Order: sequence, then C-alpha cells, then structure tokens
Amino acid sequence: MTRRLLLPLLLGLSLQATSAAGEPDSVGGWLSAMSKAVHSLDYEGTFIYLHDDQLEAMRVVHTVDADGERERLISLNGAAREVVRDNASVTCIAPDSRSVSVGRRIGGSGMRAVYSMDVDALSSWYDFRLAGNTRVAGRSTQVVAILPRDAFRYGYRLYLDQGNALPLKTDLLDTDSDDAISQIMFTSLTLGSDAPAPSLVTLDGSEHYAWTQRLPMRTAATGGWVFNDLPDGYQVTLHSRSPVRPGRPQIDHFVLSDGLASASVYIEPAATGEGWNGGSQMGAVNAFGRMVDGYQVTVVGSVPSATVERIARGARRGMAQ
Amino acid sequence: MKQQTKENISAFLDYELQKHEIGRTLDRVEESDELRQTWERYHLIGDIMRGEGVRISAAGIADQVREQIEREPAILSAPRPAGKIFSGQHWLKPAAGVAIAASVAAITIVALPRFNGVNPGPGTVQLAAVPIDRPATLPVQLAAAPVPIDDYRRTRGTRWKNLQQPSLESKLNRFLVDHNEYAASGGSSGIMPYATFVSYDSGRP
Repeated sequence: MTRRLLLPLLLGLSLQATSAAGEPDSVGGWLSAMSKAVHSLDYEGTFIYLHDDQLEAMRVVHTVDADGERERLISLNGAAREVVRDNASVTCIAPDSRSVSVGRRIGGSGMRAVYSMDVDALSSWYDFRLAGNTRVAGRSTQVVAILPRDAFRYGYRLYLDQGNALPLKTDLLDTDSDDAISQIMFTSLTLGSDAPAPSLVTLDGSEHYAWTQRLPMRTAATGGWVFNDLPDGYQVTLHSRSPVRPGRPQIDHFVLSDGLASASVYIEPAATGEGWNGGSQMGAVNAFGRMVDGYQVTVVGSVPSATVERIARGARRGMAQ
Repeated sequence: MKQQTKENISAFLDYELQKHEIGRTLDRVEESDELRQTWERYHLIGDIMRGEGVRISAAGIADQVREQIEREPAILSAPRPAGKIFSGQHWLKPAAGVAIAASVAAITIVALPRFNGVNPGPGTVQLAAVPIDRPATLPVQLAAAPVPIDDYRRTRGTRWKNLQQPSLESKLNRFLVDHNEYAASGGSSGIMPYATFVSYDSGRP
C-alpha cells in the first residue's frame, strides 16, 4: 500500500541520478547526489562496521525496481543475521532461514525527507566542508565533513564515490573531536545490473510482529505536550499517536530534529509502580527516561547523551489540545 | 481469535498484557501448535532485535523442551496459584535441578525474565529458581538473563548500558527500531541505523 507513493518518486530520481554525469561542485550538491544515489541505485557490496572495539563484516544488496526499493543487509561474521527492508516492511531473518517480519515501514513523506536536506539551513548548527580526496575500496572519493557547532549533535565525515556519490565510507564523529564513534567502510562494491537481486530469500511476510502492525496516525496536534528549552535547532517535526488496542497503552511519538540529527520522544501512561528515570547508551545511540505527571517519557536517538537528557527534561504537559 | 492471541503473546512478551489476559493467553498457547510456533518466533524476534546470541539450530524448540521435560521426574511441587497465572506447570519442572539439555536451559533463560515481570501473587511457583541449575558449560548470557548489573555495564556496542530491566531494554529496542524508520531517511546513510541490529557481538556466542 505504501508503495504507491514511492514508485514514481524513485523512478524519477533514478533517472536524475544516472543522468547526472558531472561531479557536483558544492557540499550541497554532493550531499544531494549522495542521498539520491543511496536510494536510487542498484548496488551490492561488502563493508566493515567498526564500533566501540568491535569489527564486523556485512554485505548489503540494494535494488530498485517497479516495486520500489529493496535492501538486504547480511552479517558475515558470527550468527548469520539479516535485515531485509523494502517499502512495506522491515524483516529480520534468523540463522536457520526461518523468517520473521517485524514491522511495516512508514511510507510516503518519511522517504521524501531524504531529498530535502537543506545545507543552508543546517549551516547554523553544522560546519559543512569539502575535505579533499582519497581512495576507498579502490575508488576515488570526495570527502565531505559535517562538523557540529555545539555538543548537541554528532558530526559526519563522508567519503563519496566520485563517480556516483555513494558513501563508500561513513565516519560518525563525536561532538568535540575528530574521533570517529563508529565507521562503516566498503571494501568492495558492485554497481548496476551486475548486483544480484536481494530476493534470494523467500520471505514469510504474512505474520507481522504486532507492535508496528498498524501504522500510527499522524497528527498535527501536539497531544497536550510541549517541549521547553530544546537544544538549539531542534524542533518537533512529527507527532503520531499509536492506535488504541486492548491491553496496550496509547503512545504518543514525537520526532525532534535539527534537520540532520533526530531523536524520538515516546510518551505513555506509566504502569503502576514503574518508571525509568535515567540514561542509557548503546553505541552512538543514547536514551533518557523521565517520569512526568504519571507519564513515562522516553527519548531515543543517535544523538549525544546531553541532547536526549535536555529533551526529556523539557517535556511538559501543556495546553490540552 | 488466533490473531488476537498472537497480539496478546506479543503484548505479554513486552510486559504490556493485562493481568487478566495472561492465563487465558498461555492456555491457548499450550493448546495450539501454531501458537507455540508464534511464541517461539516472537522470542526470536526479541532476541534478534536485542542483538543477542540467538541459538536456534533446532526448530520446534518448544516441543523439544516439552518432550524433554516430560521425561524428567518432577521434584518440585508448587501449589497452583489461585489466579492461575501460569497453567502449563510442566514447563516449570526444570526447576527441580535435574540435568537438562542445553537447549532447554537456553529457552528457559530466554523465557524467564518475562515471567518475572508478571509479578505473580502469593503461592506462585518461584520461577527465579530456574536458571540456577543451568549447565555450567552453557556459554549463553542473554540480555534477558538475570545477571548482575555489572554484567550489563561490561557489555558494549550492541547492548544498552546501565539497564537492570530486560523489559526496559526490550522497550528501548522497539523504540529505536521505530525511531530509525523516521530517522534513517534524514541521516547520512541508510545503512548505519540497521548495522547495529545485524551486527554480531563477538563477546557473546
């Protein structure tokens, strides 16, 4: 169902990307080309993923056809885990090839957001630079640095293929240094029709894991919540409310973004006697929980710990809608 | 009815099923092969989403567990809870401390903390006793296992830090997957958000 919106969009972009033979001459041009390339090109490659002290190898297969985008991500070391994404769902596949579908994707405007990264607007919070050329996976790349201007967002160093703008290497940078928190780097990449189709796996998509089985309702209202004292640049970009279901609490979901970094705020009635007040971290992802007026407020995102904490502490019950 | 029960199973594993629904849901799981498979799959999903060392070389593990348990002598005798929170008591027999297969222990560990969260009333079987007797050679430490908090702090990369509640960890994973659906499109790479979930923690089996 969600495919109807994406197909014309993707086909149109595919044409744009392949016809853009010349190299972009600005940071904005490069980032725009990258965003289009990631979603519109067929490619298959092996990359390594370095985070904390762990080094892992993964394979990605990405295709675009009449049904839209399809991506398969496979771990090459350890348990043979996979994630398959298409326009309709995100699916985890277990080592014994039994498959489980874990969620339905948010279609439509969520994907379109890729193509509207506004470098000029983001310049208030990030310093964008072209940072020379280097070679990755045997291919020449243009290095683009996106450096945060404060401690409330991470930076990126992107190594974009000079031929097609695919990010052959991506460094996620800490707020106050050039140190990479995590890195993804392709070691091999095959483009175009040579890339094998990701449909080698037979998916049993009939059984969706219940928690995202129904798309949330997007609402314009803020659900009676306000966010005070947000870090500079962050604003509420989306609010949705999960459908009411027996035995499950209704959850308000807010996305707060500065245009590049984003965090989600989930607000639900707190269960009796429970509540989480504090922070947690997984790799570059931070989370912070806080009880507000009998509600559990949970902030999650690939942003620094200071950001999730500040957002959580600013959440208030405001004017009723 | 089955679809509703499946949703109840999902809710139960997420600590979100109402108490009065729990007994009936578990009864239905016990009676239906299909629902038992669903039960397994949902555990599996949770394990994968938490990036845990999943061991599922044997299909139909629940049935194997049942067969194995039924062969074991039942030493533990516990009064049936008044609220009948957990009707399939033969599932609980590993608490007797008899030698059990590794697969049994594995599924027990996975299942345990969720049952802990049910907060059974007085007279209920002490489920917390289950993992004590797991074979020492079993190299499994799942996120859901009742390990000391220090173990959580030592874990890196693909696990949430400083969390004592498996249910909270599970919830944060759910939120993160959901968030990534919104955020992946706005970030610099479509791959980065999901690499975490596919990644394999070398520190665990």
